[in-house]
Amino acid sequence: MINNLEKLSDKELYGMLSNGDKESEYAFLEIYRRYSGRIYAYCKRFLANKEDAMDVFQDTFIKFYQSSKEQREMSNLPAFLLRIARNLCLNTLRRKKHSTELEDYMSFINIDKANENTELLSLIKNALLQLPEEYREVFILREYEGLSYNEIAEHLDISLPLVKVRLFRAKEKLREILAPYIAELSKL
Amino acid sequence: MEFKNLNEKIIEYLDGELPQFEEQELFSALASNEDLRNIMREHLAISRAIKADVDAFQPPANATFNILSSIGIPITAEGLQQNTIPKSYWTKTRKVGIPILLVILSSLLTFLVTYNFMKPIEPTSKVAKAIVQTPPVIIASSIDDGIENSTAKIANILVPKHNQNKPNANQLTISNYQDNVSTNQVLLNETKNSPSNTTTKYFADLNNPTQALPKQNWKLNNSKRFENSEQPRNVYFTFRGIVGKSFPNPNIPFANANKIFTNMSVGLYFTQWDNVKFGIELGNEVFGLSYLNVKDGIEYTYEQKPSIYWGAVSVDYNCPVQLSSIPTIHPFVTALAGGTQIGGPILKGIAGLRFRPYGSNFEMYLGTEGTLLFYQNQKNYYLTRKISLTYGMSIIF
Repeated sequence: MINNLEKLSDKELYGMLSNGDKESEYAFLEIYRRYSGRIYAYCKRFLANKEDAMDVFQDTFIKFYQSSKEQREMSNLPAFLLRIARNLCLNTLRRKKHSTELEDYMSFINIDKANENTELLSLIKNALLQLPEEYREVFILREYEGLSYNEIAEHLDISLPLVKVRLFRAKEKLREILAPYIAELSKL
Repeated sequence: MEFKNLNEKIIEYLDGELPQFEEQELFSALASNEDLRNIMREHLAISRAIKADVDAFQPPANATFNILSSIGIPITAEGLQQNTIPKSYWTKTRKVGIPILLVILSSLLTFLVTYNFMKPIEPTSKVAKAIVQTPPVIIASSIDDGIENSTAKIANILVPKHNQNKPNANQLTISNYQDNVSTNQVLLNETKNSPSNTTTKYFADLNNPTQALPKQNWKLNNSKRFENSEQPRNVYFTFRGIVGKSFPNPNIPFANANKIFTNMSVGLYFTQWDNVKFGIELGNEVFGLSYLNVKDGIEYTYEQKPSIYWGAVSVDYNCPVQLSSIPTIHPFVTALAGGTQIGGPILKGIAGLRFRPYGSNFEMYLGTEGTLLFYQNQKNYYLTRKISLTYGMSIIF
């Protein structure tokens, strides 16, 4: 009598989206439940600005829902969502470049300070901002989204060695920035 | 292997991407190099801290609200916890059939539960015995005159003196009861049943029938205030009609004390848990009553059909399982317990279906209701059963 949505695959849920009835609403809610956290984390850490992240996050799911009305094969739903989010993030970054970076940075720091649980986490977020965009993105996809190197390569449409290089540089850069703090924290 | 290369291997190893055949080489290097071990500790510390970054994975509630609003999905109480939906392959027949089947089943269940207590209109003694375990026949000497007199007086009924005849209503009014018997009283039937082998008569008082029974002060329990700051508190104002049949069901017109508020109830419910509500209801319904009254050793059986006010505290459970075809319809059950203006307790059970359109502050419902009404006269208890169809709506605040 009742069909449990949690047991359905992404592909089945996506197929239900185009039905246009109550089922499509349930399917969307289930997809949202599954991936909203990951997409939000990606937007938030990539853009490093809470307001922008929220805008992009919202637009991502709205665009996703609209696009679901067009019939298409869905092989990797989270990757599809990430691609939408990434395009929107890049657009936002391009639009805001050279204008309010410092403001955003400060607001990001202030907003998130209240939510910090650990000092190191706070430092990592700040250090992430110092990474070049392409390094930061690879790092977020790996650490926050949990994508494999191959998946990152596929998502960003770059080679596997390039993923390794960027990730290594991102992590090394972070480690260099944070090493003194980690040493201090380990003494406490 | 170069130091930089080893550093890369550490990262790949921590990411689970290092091929197995390269691990041994890395472990050897780590075992002999303190700096490499420190680097590994630092990477681990960073990874662990990021895993604790739960804040990043929690979209703000208003973002969720904005998204759902933008694409036209109503925000319901179930919200995103909703994880069940109807199967798409259900036929239209099934879509209609399931609600109907549920209504029939709930009706049948309620009917059977109530029918278990039902018997033909043979009022009184068996019922009285079953309730209070006292002899069903009351001898004149054991009667409490105070109760008896007040009953007769309030009901505007004067019980007849020893009389072996079978007077009709008119005779009753004109001859023996000229001063006291109301013209609205109808003599319905008579049997020889009393201990003194005198006549038992069935009366109905159409004037003010509920007064025929001794009044007891019934204090309706105040509804408890259920506090729960963590849950969104919904208040439901309910309004429903009740159409049913009493057992006993005297074949006389019912006395409609209130021409507007009859066979209906109003209630106020508070959400306590997700699917459980508590509340109070006040109603007025017509019940058939049948009871004994003894005067001077003569046992009379009175029958009435008054509309009686009742009040009850209630608990309502809304089954979270959605009907496959129409997700906004839920089965529900409600239990009520309270008192009536004639003193005895009243128990009610309702089972049915509730329909609440998405995003609406209204809900409608249809169900079957079983009622047990207890009442007392001259130290004997009596029971009236009633099976009803109930329908109504709630406004949610």
